[in-house]
This record gives sequence, structure tokens and C-alpha cells, in this order.
Amino acid sequence: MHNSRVLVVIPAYNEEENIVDTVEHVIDAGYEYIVVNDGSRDNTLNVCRNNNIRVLDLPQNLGIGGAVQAGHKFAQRHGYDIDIQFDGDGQHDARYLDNLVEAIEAGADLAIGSRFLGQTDGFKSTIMRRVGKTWLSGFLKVFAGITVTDPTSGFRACGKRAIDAFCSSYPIDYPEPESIAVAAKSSFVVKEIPVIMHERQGGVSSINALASVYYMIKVSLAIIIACFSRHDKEA
Amino acid sequence: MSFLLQIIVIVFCVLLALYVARLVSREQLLLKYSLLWLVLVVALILSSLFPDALFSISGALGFETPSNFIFFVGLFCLLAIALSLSVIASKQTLKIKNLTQRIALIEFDMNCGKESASGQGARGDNEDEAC
Repeated sequence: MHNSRVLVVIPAYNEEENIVDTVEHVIDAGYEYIVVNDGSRDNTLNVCRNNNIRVLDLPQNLGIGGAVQAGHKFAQRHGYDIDIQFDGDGQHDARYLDNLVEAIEAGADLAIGSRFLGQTDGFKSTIMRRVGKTWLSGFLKVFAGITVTDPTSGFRACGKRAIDAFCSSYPIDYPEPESIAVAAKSSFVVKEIPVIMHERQGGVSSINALASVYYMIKVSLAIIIACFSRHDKEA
Repeated sequence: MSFLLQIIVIVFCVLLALYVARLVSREQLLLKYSLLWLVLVVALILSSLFPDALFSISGALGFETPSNFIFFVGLFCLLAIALSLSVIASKQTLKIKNLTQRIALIEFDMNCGKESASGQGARGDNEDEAC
């Protein structure tokens, strides 16, 4: 189907209800995968082991950024050409994996699945979150000079260059918008692909309403700093 | 500055220095982080031995009273120490994160390497599927 070795990285924190379905969808789509168990306090690890799901078990919780970076490191260590972040909570649709891989094979370093590109329907989040996304899009436009319609999308594929860069440094929490700024600063080719997302099927979103103002301030600041810093840091 | 006050400050500083030294010798405080506190102790002892120098510096810098000068310097030192602690905590967060990831990667390799070599895992036939 594809010439590249592709790995689907499924970060999972307390996702015992959804993880088996998510993995089945990825397998049905014909992809290799790795579940990154981010120190879940529920039964996620046992559910994975009992169902013979390939799992990278972080001995303690690192947050989404640390879990995704562990996936990048796994892909680098095992020689994959492309890795795709695919959330473990059932929001993402495995039908679009092919499109993301094609975008990378066509020369993009980072391909982002966007809910807002083209005429897609499906779950597009609440009004407040959409206001937040518009703000972040504007911020990325002004400071990183890049047009992204869905900056917080966690459905994204990385080529080899991006995998290497994200292995040596990746934001710890709320990493998506910040990593786009880093990619733009590193003059990576960033491409968006229209996708449809579903409402979460279980678990709890990592961003609750009260934390959203803190989230916006933090991510905005992170984007500015990413755009004005040199790229010699090791993290 | 009364003689009694000078004695109290000096005794306090010596006790603090001894406590810091004890923490270092019991390996509850690293030597490099103890230097900061020892420097603070020396500065306090010097200013209680030679209060006139302190008063004239304070006056020269335009502080209304020497106590304001002391509060200003003390606050500034504490802020600097607090910031350096944040830097240390951040570095450690990154190190722990990298170690956590490395442990998971090595554990994965160990489990899968062992099972594919021996051909029989602890959990039966489908073992290789999970690797």
C-alpha cells in the first residue's frame, strides 16, 4: 500500500474503555501501532496486555507531550519513516490515516488532520474552544508566519525530519500548537488534511473549562518563545 | 545597633551555617546548593560586625533608612534563590521525563527481544503479536 514504514502512536491515559476499539480500528486500516500508556491509574495497561496490544508502558505519568515524544523516540529507535499520533479516546477516525501518510510521502514534514478545512462535518467542538482555536491560528499566523486552521488537532503525521526534531525536543504539556511553531521555525513543510472527528467516546478531556484561560495564556506564550528562540536546545 | 543585637545576629548566623554544614555532611543538601546559603551567612555576619559600612552604603544609595536597604537586599536575594530553584526543578523535570521514556523503551525491547528469541512468552501463543 505504502512504501514507507508507518507507525501509529496511540497515547493513552486512563483509556480502558476505548483503547481496544481504537487499536482495532487502526489494525483494520492496515497499520502498525504502538500504544503509549502514560502511567494510567485505571486498568489501561492490563486491558492492553490481556488483548495482546503492543504497549510502551511509561512507569509514571508524563502528560501528553511526554507520551507523544516517547512515541517519536520509539519510531526513531525502530526505524520507522513516518509516525502518526492518533488519540486513544476514539475522537480520531482511522479512515484518514492514508491521507496523512500520502501528504508526508508527497514531501510534507508534518501533516495535520484539520476539522475546519474543506467541507467536513462531524464534531467541531464547542463555541468557546473554537474561539480559542481562532486565536491560536491568528497567533501562529503572526508569529510563525504559518496558516493552520486546526492548531490543537492531535491527529498528525510526522516524517523523518520532524521525528528526529521532536525526539530531541518536544513541549511537555499542551504540545500541539507550540510544536507547529517549532516546525515552522525549522522551515518544515507543514500541510493540513481535512478530516472528520468524533465526540470523545469516554474518558475525560485533558482540558477542562476552568483551565482554558490558563491554557490559552500558556500556549500563546509558548508560541512566542518558540518563535524567538534558537534551536539548539536538548530536552 | 546594640551590642546585644550584634551578638544575637552572629549566633543566629553561626547556627544557620552549622545546620547547612550538617545537611551537606548528611547528603541532604548538595555542596553546590549550600554555597548560596553560606554566602548569605557571611554577608549577615559582616553587616552585623560592621554596621557603619552598611549604614553608609544605604545612605549613599538614597534609602530613607538602613532597614529599608536591608529588606530590599534580603528580598532580592530570596527572589534570586527562588528563581534558581525553579530552574533546578525544570531541569530535573526534563531529566526525569527522558529517563521515564528510556525505561519504557528498554523495557519494551527486553520483553520483545526475550520472547522472540525463546519463542515462548510467559503469556502463551499470541505473544509475538504484541511485539
